[in-house]
Order: sequence, then C-alpha cells, then structure tokens
Amino acid sequence: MSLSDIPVTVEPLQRPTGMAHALLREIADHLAELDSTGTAGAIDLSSLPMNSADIEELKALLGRGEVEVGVDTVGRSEFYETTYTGVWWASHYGDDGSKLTERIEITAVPEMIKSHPDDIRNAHQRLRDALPTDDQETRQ
Amino acid sequence: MSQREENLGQYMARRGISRRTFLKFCTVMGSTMALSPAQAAEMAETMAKATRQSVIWLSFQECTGCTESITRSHNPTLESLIFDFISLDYHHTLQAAAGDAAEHAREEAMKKHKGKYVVVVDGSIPMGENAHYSTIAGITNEQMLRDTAKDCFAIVTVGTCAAFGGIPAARPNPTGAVAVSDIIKDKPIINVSGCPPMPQVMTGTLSHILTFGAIPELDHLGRPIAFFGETIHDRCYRRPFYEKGQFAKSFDDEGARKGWCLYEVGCKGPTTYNACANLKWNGADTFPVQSGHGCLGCSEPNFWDQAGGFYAPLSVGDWGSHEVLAGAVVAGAAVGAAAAVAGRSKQKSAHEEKKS
Repeated sequence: MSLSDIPVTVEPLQRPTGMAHALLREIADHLAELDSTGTAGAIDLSSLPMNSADIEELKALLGRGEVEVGVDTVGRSEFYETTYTGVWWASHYGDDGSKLTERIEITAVPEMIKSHPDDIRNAHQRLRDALPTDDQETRQ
Repeated sequence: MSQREENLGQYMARRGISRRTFLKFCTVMGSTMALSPAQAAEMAETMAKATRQSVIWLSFQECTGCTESITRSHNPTLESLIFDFISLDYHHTLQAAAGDAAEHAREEAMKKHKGKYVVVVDGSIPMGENAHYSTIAGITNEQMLRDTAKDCFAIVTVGTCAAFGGIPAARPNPTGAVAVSDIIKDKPIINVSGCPPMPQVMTGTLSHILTFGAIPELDHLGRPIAFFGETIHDRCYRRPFYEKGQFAKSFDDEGARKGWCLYEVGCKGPTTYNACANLKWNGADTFPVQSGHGCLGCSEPNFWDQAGGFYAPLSVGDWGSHEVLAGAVVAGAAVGAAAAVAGRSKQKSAHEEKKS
C-alpha cells in the first residue's frame, strides 16, 4: 500500500486573500527608502500567512526582470530581479531541494550575491599559494 | 594563535565554510527566529566576530530523541552547521572521549569559560533517594547538574523531559523525576520543549544566544516566544474547517477523508504552543495534523497524563476549565486573523532587544 492509496483528500483554501496587494505597498515604502537613503530592506514571506495563491499573485504583480542569479551552498539559493529594479525575489532551498525560506529583498544587489571581503582576502592568499615559485618556473 | 582564541569568521575560513554559506544559515535562522529580515547580514557579521560559544550538553533521563532530532534533521547540512558555530565541549553521545577523559573535558570547559558557557540539558532528573537511578561516571544527575550549572551563563533545556519532567515524570513517576527548573533557581533557563523539539527551534535558540549574547524573550513557561508564541491551532491549515464546524468524528469517517478539523478526535492544537504548524517537520513537508493525527500537545507540561487520553476532545479533558479553553480559542482566532501583525511585532521586539 502506498501513501496515494490512503483515501484522504484535503480541501485547501487556495484563493488569494489580498495579502499580495497589501505587500505591494510595503515594498513601495522600502523602495522609496532605498532610493532616498540607500537603506536596503527585506520582507520574509515565510513568516506571513500567505497561501500558494497569494504567492503566485505576488509573483505575477511583480513580474520578472533582467537578472537571475543562482548560488550553490548547502542547497540552492535563487535570486531574480523583478520588473521593479531593486526589488529581488529570493528563494532558499536545502540540500534535498525543500524550500527553507522565501524573501523579497529591496536592494541594489542582495548580500549573498556579493563576495565578502574576508573571502576575497582568503582567495587572494590561496591563489598566491597556488602560484609556482621562482624555482619551479626556472625548472620549467 | 590557538584554535580556541580564533573568532568564528577565522574558524570558518580555516574550515572552508564561505561567508555565503554562513549568510544563508543566518538568513534561514533569522526567518525561523522571527527576526527582522534585514538583520540577517548584521547577524552574520556579529557572529563572525565572536569566539565560538562553549556548550556543555548534559543528557540525563532521556531517550536521545532530542539529539536525534537536531542531528538527523531533514536539512542536516544546514542545521548541523550549528555544531561548527559552537564549541561543543561535552556531549555523551557525540563525543569521542569516554570515561575520565570525557569528564575532564567538561571540567576544563567549566574552568576555562567560567560564567560564559551554556549548559544544554536533555532528560529529567531523578531526585533524592531515587537519584541513583541515573548516574554518569558515578555522579548522580542531580549533582552533575548542580555542579555544571554553578558557573554557567544560561541553561537551555531541550525536550519536554528537561523542561517539565516529561515522560519519566508521568504517573506514577517511579524515579521521582523532576525538571531542571525544579533544581536550579539562580540561572536563566530557556525551555525548548517538545517530544522531541523541532530542530529549527533548538538551532534558532542557540543562534539567538550566539548573536545577541542574551536570552530571547520568553513566555510564562520559559519558552522562546519567537517559536512558542502561537498555538498549533492558530497556524493550522485545517483551521477553516474548525471555523465552519466541520469535524472528523472518527479516523475513518467522511470528515477524516476530507481532511476536516481533528478537534473532536482529540487534537490538542488549541492549547499547545509550538511551531510545528508553520515550520513543519520532514523538510517542511508536514506535521502530525497534516498526516491525519491530532496534536498530542507534547510541548506542554504533563502532556502524557492528560485526562481522557490523546483521543478525547479537549472539552472533556482537564486542560483547564471551559472558560480557559474558550479563551484560548478566542485568543487563537484573534492571533490567526492578525498573524502578520503578530509576526511583525515579534520582529520589532527582537530588534529592540538587540538595540537595548
């Protein structure tokens, strides 16, 4: 017997509740802040009582812009800029592909896409270490 | 520079953990902790500059389910990172050392981090003439707890046994088991209850201490409000059926097949505070109610001894008077309707706490 043989059906509430339109106003406020002071903002969609219809409605309202970025670290993280420049949709997944959290980030570039100064410093050191020494170059 | 002196950022660089990985951990943890979403990057920077928090983990009368929950979580790669970010100086089940060497490690950590280390406890403690029911290296659980807690910064109890006595303390309580808070009165105690607790809640609570160096806001039972601020009923996806009066009357009737509310077959969701309904288990896939079984109320005190048993409706149990129950449900309705507002207010308080 498989799980699909268990005759239980659930009637989910899958009509938009209006949350998407309410969030647009909050996003607009964050965008105004980013424009006037450069202060980035974020909205954690996972903490809001949004059903899948709300999420789809918000995605449709924001649209999809020109940039998409994928980050592979302990699972995939996906970012795309919406049609509103500076408004990014960020989805974070675990190693097994399950969604961990979803956010709207209002910023020029999401922090996770940027290279951290400490990582740059370490990369520089690793590259230096990988370069052949003068002796090795002479032998070649 | 010794490994103990290096900060977390240096430790991560040495272990090849990128800042992106760390930022992702903080983003996901910040989300589960209901922190302001903009705080993830700040949290990552703060934690990276700190030295790794010394943690002494004491396992007493327990089934190891709590350790299993955190180490075998569905996203082990992400959540088990917490074991990189803390210095786990003592844990029976996970440490390689045994016997005198293990006890020496505990004593060394206590001496070296006096006043700063965190004690995690899972399991209840047999007391008095029953203390001999559970000993470690010839030391009773009660004595080891008193000795170890003496110089700690705070205690985190993981699981209902350590928080409230749990199953060992259920009637007739043959070992005279008690909770940590029945013994330790002069240290902050954070109760992360559940049987077992959710891995995200354990990790999130430890992350809060690492980030803010302070105790998270707690409810009247000492549980972090970020995770225990709402009932299962408040966030249950079957809530609309409750509102419409559509209840399963048995586990094989039409209501059960249609996924109606499980209140009448014993669901303790309306009086149980935990994050199962929104964080969910097994990779955020499901939680007991979604699998067709009512909530047992495992994060509440005395859940094992509830009158009427697991399958009697709350209204016939001893979970408080009808007035208390009605109050819980009405409060739940208000919270459910204003969940977004509540979430924001929690984020605000966490933010304010950090600033103060």
